[in-house]
Amino acid sequence: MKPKVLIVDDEEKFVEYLRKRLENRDLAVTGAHSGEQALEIMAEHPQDVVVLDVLMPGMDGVATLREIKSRQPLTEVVMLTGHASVESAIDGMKLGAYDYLMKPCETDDLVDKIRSAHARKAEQEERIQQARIKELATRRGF
Amino acid sequence: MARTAVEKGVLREPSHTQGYYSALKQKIIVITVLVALIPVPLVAGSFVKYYQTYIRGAVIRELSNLANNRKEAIELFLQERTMLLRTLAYSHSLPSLAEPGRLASIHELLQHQNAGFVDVGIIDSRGRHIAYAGPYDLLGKNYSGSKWFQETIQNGFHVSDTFLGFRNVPHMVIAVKREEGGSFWVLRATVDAANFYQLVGSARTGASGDAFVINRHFDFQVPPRFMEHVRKEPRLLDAPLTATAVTQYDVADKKIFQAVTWLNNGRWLLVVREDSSAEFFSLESAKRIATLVFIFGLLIISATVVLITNKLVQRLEIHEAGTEILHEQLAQTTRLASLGKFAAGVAHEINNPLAIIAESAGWVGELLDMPEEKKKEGQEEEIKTCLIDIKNQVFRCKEITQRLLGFARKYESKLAATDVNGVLAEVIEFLYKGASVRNINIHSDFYDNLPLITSDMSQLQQVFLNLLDNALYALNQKGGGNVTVRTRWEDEGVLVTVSDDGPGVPAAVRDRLFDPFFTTKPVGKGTGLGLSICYGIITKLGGRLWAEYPPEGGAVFKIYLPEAGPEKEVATR
Repeated sequence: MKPKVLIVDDEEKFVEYLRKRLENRDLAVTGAHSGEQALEIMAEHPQDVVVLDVLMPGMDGVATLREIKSRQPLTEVVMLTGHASVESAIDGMKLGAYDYLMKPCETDDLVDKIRSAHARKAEQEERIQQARIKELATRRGF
Repeated sequence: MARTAVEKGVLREPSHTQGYYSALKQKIIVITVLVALIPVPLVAGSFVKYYQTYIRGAVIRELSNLANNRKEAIELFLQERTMLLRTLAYSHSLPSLAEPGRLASIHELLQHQNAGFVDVGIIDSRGRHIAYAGPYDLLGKNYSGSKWFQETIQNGFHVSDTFLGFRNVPHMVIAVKREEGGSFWVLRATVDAANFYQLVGSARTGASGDAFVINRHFDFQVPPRFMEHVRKEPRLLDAPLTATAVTQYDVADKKIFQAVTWLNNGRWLLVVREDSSAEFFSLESAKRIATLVFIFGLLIISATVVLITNKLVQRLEIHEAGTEILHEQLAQTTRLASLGKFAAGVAHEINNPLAIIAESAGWVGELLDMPEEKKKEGQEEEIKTCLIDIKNQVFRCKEITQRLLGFARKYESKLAATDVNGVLAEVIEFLYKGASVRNINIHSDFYDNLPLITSDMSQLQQVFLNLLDNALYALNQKGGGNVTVRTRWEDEGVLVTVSDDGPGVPAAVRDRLFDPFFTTKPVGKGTGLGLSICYGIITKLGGRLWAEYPPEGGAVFKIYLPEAGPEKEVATR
């Protein structure tokens, strides 16, 4: 199954081209132009990895990240940032973001990050799965 | 923390002028010298006064003693002779004395006494000289009309004024009255006044001391040594009858003291005069020494004070010049920091179009690399669209860089006709994007057709940037808000108002708002120089910068810039 990726950035053109290129690399991509829109989409379609711009009008990157992590803690987030807001990206890492990249970035780097983020998410889910099985087994007295 | 954005501080006033320092110097010198020297003449003066009074008292006492002493001696001299005659008169009867040869033998006896009796005679009650012994032929003379005779009858005795006799020797006449058998007669004697002269003369002290006796008509009974010592002042006769009076009068630089006392039942006045300059000489020399010491002290103290003050003011000047340079440097640093900050902002803004270009170009590459079977209809069209997007983003970048260039180029200071609205518009445009990303709206309320004013565009830019940056920082803490920039034409100048609806300035820090190095920003975030430098710049431009705190919250900064600009050409950085 293709990893589900959500791109959140207020620059519509950026979202458009990045989506096309990521889709071309076998990723299932959705675009959002604000933090609020991203949360709406995620409410209906949970995502594996979110690529999140830090500086946005309205709900900014860090606030959106906080919200995502509280609603869907397993979803991994990669922050996108400019020079001036590296500190915000670091704040984001503290809040549980997987990694960050400076704009403009190499698409291949971004894809690598998305894939390893997805791998981590999968691993986490696997471990949770294992734990559940173990728990069930224990309970049934095996 | 409220209104954290506000960088407070007052840039130093422009350095003090040379006039300020010389005035300061003069003030310090005058005050110090006065304070140091005023007590000296006061102390010296009171000592001199005290000493003078003391010496004067001693001189007066001494002179008055001398005069009293002479008076007693003279009175005794007169009394002795009067008593002698009276004893003679009462120990003889007229007939026994009138016997021939009797008076001559008494005359001889009297001369042996060495009492200065020159002659002796008897006058009867009708004034006739009935008996005489002496060198002159006075027998038969009638004195009944004479004043002395009348006085003798009346008072019982008489002492005459002195007179020069035939041999030009001073004499006086002493007469006593004898009552006998219902009638009377008078015993009269002429006395050589040499003893009297001697008694008076012994009161003449020193080289210029003098003593003389006058009667109430200023006739000399005993003449003075020096005629110029006599002052014919009627008030001299006002001296009290019973006591000795001493007066002081200064002739040239001499201190003259004069004692007067009455003699001979108030008929004669003894005047004793003394030059007491010598007694006062030590005082005079003490005064001279004190004056010298005072002048010497004045010179030393003045020189020291002048030297120290010069040194002090010089150091102050150097120090202030150093401070001035330091502030210049700080201002320059802050200026560069703000420029760097805005450059970073611009770089960030450029990143967005660059990212779009990168993705778009990447996509074109991917489209071209796509294997034939995957290619879709209208792929060429898509590539064209991509290229147009790239071009658009490139122009977007160009716009941003041009804005920055235009901004930086104006960082050249000079006074010129300045459009305040234009400068503000540029600054706002510069900050607008960054602000809107943070949910901050910047509203412009510009006065139409605002006249140009003489000012420095680049410095105004720095001030406006600083104020707006403060406002944005404050609103960012709050999570967004509104900034209003207003211009008005008032009092021949431009009034710029930058107001925000942020948290405002807490009352506790308002006093220090414009102090240098005062900041409420976290450590490392603010230098505390922003408002201080703004204040300095606006002051140098001849305007005013102040803050207002509306009750409904927020902060309002106002700048008034006069149309004419700074009063004189100031060296701009």
